[in-house]
Amino acid sequence: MSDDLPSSYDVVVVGTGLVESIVAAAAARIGKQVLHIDKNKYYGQHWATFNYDDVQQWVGDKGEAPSPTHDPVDNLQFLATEESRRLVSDISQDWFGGVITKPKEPPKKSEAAAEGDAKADSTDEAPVTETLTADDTKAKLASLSRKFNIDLAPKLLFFKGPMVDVLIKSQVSRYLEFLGVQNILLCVNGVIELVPCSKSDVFSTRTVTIVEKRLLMKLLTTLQSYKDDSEELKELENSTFEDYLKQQNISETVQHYILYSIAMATQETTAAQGIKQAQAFLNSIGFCGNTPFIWPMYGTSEILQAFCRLSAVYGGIYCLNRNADFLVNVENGPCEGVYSNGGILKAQNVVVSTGLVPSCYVNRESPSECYQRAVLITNKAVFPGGKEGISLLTYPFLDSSFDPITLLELNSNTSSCPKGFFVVHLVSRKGKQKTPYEDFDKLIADIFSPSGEGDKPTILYKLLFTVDIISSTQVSDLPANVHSCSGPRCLSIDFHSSLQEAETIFKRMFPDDEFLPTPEAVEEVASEE
Amino acid sequence: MEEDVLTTLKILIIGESGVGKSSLLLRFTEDSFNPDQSITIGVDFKTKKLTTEGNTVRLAIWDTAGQERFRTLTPSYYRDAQGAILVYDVTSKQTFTKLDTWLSELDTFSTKSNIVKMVVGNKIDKDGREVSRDEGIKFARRHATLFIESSAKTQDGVQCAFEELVQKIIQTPGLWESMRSKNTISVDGDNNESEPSCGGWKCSLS
Repeated sequence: MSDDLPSSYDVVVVGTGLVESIVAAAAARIGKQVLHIDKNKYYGQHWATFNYDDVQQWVGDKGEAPSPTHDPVDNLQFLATEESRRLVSDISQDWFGGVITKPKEPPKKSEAAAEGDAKADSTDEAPVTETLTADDTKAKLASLSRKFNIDLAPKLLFFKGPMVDVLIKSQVSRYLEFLGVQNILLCVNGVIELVPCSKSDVFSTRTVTIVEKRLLMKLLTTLQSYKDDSEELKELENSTFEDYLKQQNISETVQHYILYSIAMATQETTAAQGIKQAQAFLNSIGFCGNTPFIWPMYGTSEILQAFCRLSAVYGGIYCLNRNADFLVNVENGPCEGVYSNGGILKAQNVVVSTGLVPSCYVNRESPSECYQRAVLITNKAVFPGGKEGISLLTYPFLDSSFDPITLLELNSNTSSCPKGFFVVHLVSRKGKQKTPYEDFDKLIADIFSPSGEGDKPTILYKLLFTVDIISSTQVSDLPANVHSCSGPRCLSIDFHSSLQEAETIFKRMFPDDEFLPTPEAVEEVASEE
Repeated sequence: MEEDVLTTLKILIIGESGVGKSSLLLRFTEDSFNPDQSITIGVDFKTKKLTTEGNTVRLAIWDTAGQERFRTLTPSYYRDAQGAILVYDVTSKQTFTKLDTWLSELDTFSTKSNIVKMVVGNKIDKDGREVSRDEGIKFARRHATLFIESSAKTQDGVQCAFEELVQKIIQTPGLWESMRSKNTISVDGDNNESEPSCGGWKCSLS
């Protein structure tokens, strides 16, 4: 082989999704020899974060057919890995005209310091606006390409959630920075409201009467008092969370706050599940302002890149832009490793994205998790009355015609976009729509306006796509030493299921070892003068 | 506690495998040298205080962790770095010609447009030089970078390289003063013990 890679490994990981990257980090961390490859030239697959040009390439990428299968050699059969790009469908993009507020040139540092008064004057000036046609928008976005970090799978972390615990314990957190989600919003009947989440929010909110405030306080405290696996909670498995809330003497508005925003539930969610989801939310409140959520600066893909770095620090070898096919024993024995770049790489264990698993092992008929996504680039915040920063909005359909849509708005502080722009992500379950994105159209008509009437934001760019994630439960009959990793479950806002999956795979391979232990007191401390 | 420290600067070391990136890092931060240093394992980043021209800064110097071998450094490696050291081996022409690729990678991923770059020709203690000092200087001039030759083994030029880089960063307006202006949150060990401020729900249950 042209590259001098070692020829055998404890673990070969194919695909750089989040689950794969966590497993790679955990294995390398306990001293296992790890090779991590991805056929794309970027990290993350369906979890990737792209600049604007990368998005254009990704949209245009039709994916390649799996490489032809080789004839068996010495009892070894070659099975081509699949093309994960095929799981994305109904892609379209559009550009629109609109008015953007031009960012003012920041005064040169030295000048600003010298003339503090002059600075105050300049902020009084009317903001400079620029009117763009659809063609202008297209050119503008291309010219600002690198200022965009657009997530295929945007996700948030609960401040007191299991992902944050693992990041801290493994010290992967030192590669990352976060921003709090400033506004938790709910849009019902076209009206956007700020959801009171913390005690102080409940005290100060104007959308709830005083009597109701006491009831809401009591209810939120009660929700937290349910113990895991308690009889009380078990009894609630047969009713819906919606019905549970209806019995609580609270107005419809407040029911909606809890159902859609705090529990992020749907009309079908069971009461027991709804309570657990509400608890996850409420337990994380109050540590970084009145928000339970934090967002990784520069996007979701940073998290998996941070795990890849940990893996590399502990000796994991990284190769992007490189394909790998399976090597299986003809007599249904264990997987021998992978065939890559003309060479055989032996492996005790192979970890692979479900999307890449050779098709003979995948049952596409069984139920899968399919979601719709939109990425919008807009010119204004959806909720001008909120704090400047990240907003998370839930858009339920009260008549149950569709599942709720989750909207995440990122401003320039997150490094997702340049000043003057916003990146808005939409996610919804695919299922009830008769035509693709029918539900998104309703949300867009409510919240955005092409002409900017009523101070509503205008959509300048719209990317739509649908992702059909193959979950590891759809994969069967793999050799025992091959472990498949699901793609991003975008319908849940946090990383919990991915983290659990990674830990399960790790434990299956190395039952006696600790999952991502804290590194020993690190050398860098000692190196200070 | 650290009133004397002006700021923390993130410095990257990049370049082909085997040019001595980790050795430079270890020589500078720990004043150690291991001639058998093979492919980098276990070096993440190291911090060191440096005082130059009366300014004390803390340097966080990031190693590639071997991810440069197949050109798979993550974009996140480059984020927010104020300085980059591009290393080649003076006894290997090929490592010198590859600097072009490293510069363009740096331009693609660095988030600060005015990041200060320094080209370092390492291993000047070794025989069989393939890149003359003059060629190095010309390359650095063409790309408007700082330049120095060094030997991690004999310590020649190492301290000097870091000092010069830091001076240039401090002199570059807007490169380092505006750090942390966005109120970003780091999650770390303290997170575990932190009590919710008023407004949290947990405290109501105690």
